[in-house]
Parts: sequence; C-alpha cells; structure tokens
Amino acid sequence: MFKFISTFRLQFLIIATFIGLFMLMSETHTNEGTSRFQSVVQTLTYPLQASVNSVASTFKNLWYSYISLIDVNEENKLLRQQLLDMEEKMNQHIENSVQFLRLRNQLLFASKKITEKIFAEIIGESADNNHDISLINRGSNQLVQRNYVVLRKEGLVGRIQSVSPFQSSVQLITDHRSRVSALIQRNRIRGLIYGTHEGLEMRQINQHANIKIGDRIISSGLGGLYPKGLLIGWVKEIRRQKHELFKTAILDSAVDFNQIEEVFVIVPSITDSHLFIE
Amino acid sequence: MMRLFLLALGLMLIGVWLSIVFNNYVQFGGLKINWLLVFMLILTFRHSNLLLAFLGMLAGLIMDSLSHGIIGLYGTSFFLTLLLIIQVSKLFYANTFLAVSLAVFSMSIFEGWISLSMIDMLEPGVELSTNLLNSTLPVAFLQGLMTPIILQFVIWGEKLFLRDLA
Repeated sequence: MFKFISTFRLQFLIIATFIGLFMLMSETHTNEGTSRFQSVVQTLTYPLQASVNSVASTFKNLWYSYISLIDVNEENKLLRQQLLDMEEKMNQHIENSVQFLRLRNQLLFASKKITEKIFAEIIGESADNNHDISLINRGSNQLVQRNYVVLRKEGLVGRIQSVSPFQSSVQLITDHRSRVSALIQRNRIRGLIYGTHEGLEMRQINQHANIKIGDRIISSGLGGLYPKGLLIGWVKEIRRQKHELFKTAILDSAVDFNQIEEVFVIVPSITDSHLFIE
Repeated sequence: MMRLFLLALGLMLIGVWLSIVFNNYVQFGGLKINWLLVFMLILTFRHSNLLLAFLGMLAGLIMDSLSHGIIGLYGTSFFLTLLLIIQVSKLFYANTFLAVSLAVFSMSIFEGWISLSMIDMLEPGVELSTNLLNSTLPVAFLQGLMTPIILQFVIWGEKLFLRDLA
C-alpha cells in the first residue's frame, strides 16, 4: 500500500489538491461569512489601494477644478434660469410634502425604524472581468457587515459581499450573479432584476402586465435583503417573445456605475437586524 | 528550484500590484488584463515545473479574494490550466513571441471556460456563452497581444535570477 502511494505520490498530491480546492470553494460559497484567507489578502492590499486612490483623487480633483472654471459664465446663466423654474415647482411641492409628511408620520408610528448610514469611498474594483465588484474603504472596524445594503442618493448600488477589517467588497446590482426583487412603481407589478453585461434587465414580468417605457422600477422588499422602495432605474426597452411566458424590460439604471466614487452603507435598524444575522 | 520559486513569487507580487492598482486606472476597451494568469502562463510555458502549478493555484486564490470571494474557484481553474500546460508545453517551441502569444491566448480561453463553468455550477443562471463571448474571448485576445511585452519582462527577470537557465 505504502509502496503504491509512494510510486504515485505526485498524482496523489494533485488529486488531494483538487479535493482541497473543491472543499474550500464549496465551504466559502455556502458559508455566509467572509473567509479568513480573503480577509488577510484584502487587509494586506488595502494600504496600497487606499494610498494610490488618495493620490489619484488629489490629482483628479485638481484637474476637475481647472476644467470647471471653463464656461462657468454660460453655466451660471443657465443655472439662474433653472433656479427660477425650480422655485415655481418648489412652491407646488411644499404643499404636497406637507400633506405627505402628515400621512407618513401616521404610517411610521406603528413601526418606527432608525437607519444609520456609513459614508464610504470606492477605492478599487474587482481584479477580474467577470464580476462587477467595487471595493470600499469601510470594513468591520467601522461596523460594516455582510449583506448590508449599499446605495447612493440616486438609487440602489448593491450589497456588501465580504468584509475585512479595513475594507469591504460590494456586489453591484449589475453583477451577473445579482438578483433583486423589484416592482413597477406605477402599477406595483413584480419582476426580478438581473445584472447583465449590458446593464440591468427586469425579467419574469407577467406577459399581460401593463408596462411602459419610462416606468420607474423600485425594490419590492421581498427576499429580505433589500428594503422596499429603493429606486433601481427606468424602463428603456421592452422585449417580448410570443413563445415566452414572461416579458423582459431593459432598464436604464438610476446610478451611473461608471461614475460612482462615494456610496452609503445602510446599517439596518434593530427591527430589521434579524435579516442580517449570519 | 529555489530561484525559480522566488522569481515566480516576485512576478506574482507584481501581478497583484498591477491587478489592484494598474487595472483600476488603465483598461483597454474596458477590459482588465489578468496579470497574475499571464505571468504564470508564460513562466510555466518556459519552465514546465510542477512547482509553478502550485504557485499558480496560490495566485488563483489571491484572485478569488480580490474579486468574487468564492475562494478556490480561480485557484482550481489556474491549477488545472497550468497542469495542462505542463503536459502540452513540449508540443510548443515556447521561445518565439508568436508561439507564446498563441499559447497564452488559447490557455486564457481554457481558463475562462473552466472558471465560468464552475460559477455556473455553483450559481445556475449565469449566461455562460454570453460571458465567454463578451468577456473571456476579448480578454484572451488582449492578453495574447500583451504577451510579447510581458515575455520580455519575464526574460529580463530570468536573466537576473536564473542566469544558468535563461
């Protein structure tokens, strides 16, 4: 037996390595926590990423400050005109918002939720081409945890995929593994948002659903990961095949994922905390 | 052996730096070169040493940590690809730019196919063919184009570390 093993020790080593890798892969895929190896690698690479990002942003800010001075007069005129228009609109909105606040306070009375936002800067992105992952400069030291929701004022960005002490990786909703339960705000019809190479697609929409170009798509809150009501995007195109059971809508995402530099990580309220227990 | 180990380790560190810093700012057509893979492919084509397959596995694990977080996925695909190279490298004359470029191109496609298939296995619903066409194929082509430059760098490294072998 020992002779057999020693004769084929190289083959045994290779097979054992494959088994080890598959076990590791299976364990990290099913386990909700961040693996220790990933945490170590991210902690080691963080100083490099953060320092390079800091230098690059300084230069970028200097450049944009210079650029922004050009055509500033024209822009000023345009903005003054826009301001007048906006003031008129604001008067209407104040009236609406007073009514809205009164009604909302009544609704929130029953289940008051206090959410805290952690400000974070994007310091890097996925090292490969197959995944839409961004790295942020906030980690477990700043109380960030896996599956916390990440957003911007424009709309939903993604969720925390893994956490190390100083940085976390964010799985963007455009990642091809991402799924977000969503609904059309106008008529509350449900669908599922898939990340694709081209952007976002809302699939599994009922074949008879009334859907229009420009419809706003928001998160539905189903599944417990993303809270309800976060803007995802607008319908840009509707695809429908006669033989298919469902319609597919191509979306314009609310967030420009090529431009994001800062995000907010949402710390769930105590009433939501059961959703994030790992 | 020890010198080859150190050279591979050094190239891996450079690969990590290029992946997390250079790739963030310089992308060709929005595509990120998998520097770690290219370095390991070229080294393995030139030396056909089993040690490189194991180091490649480590490089894959680092790539896993810096991307999707499923530790072992790229580890497996890198390891399998480098093992294949060790077997087939005798068929190639790996000292011309064209031969190494073609080899890197084909092996990058193989690695991409393996890793995407495994992602598909773990999380069904991933559009394998679309990903292969939109991502793996163009990146493999880009990596093939970049190979002569990287090969020059690797040869320079070999002259520094492995004088007797280079």
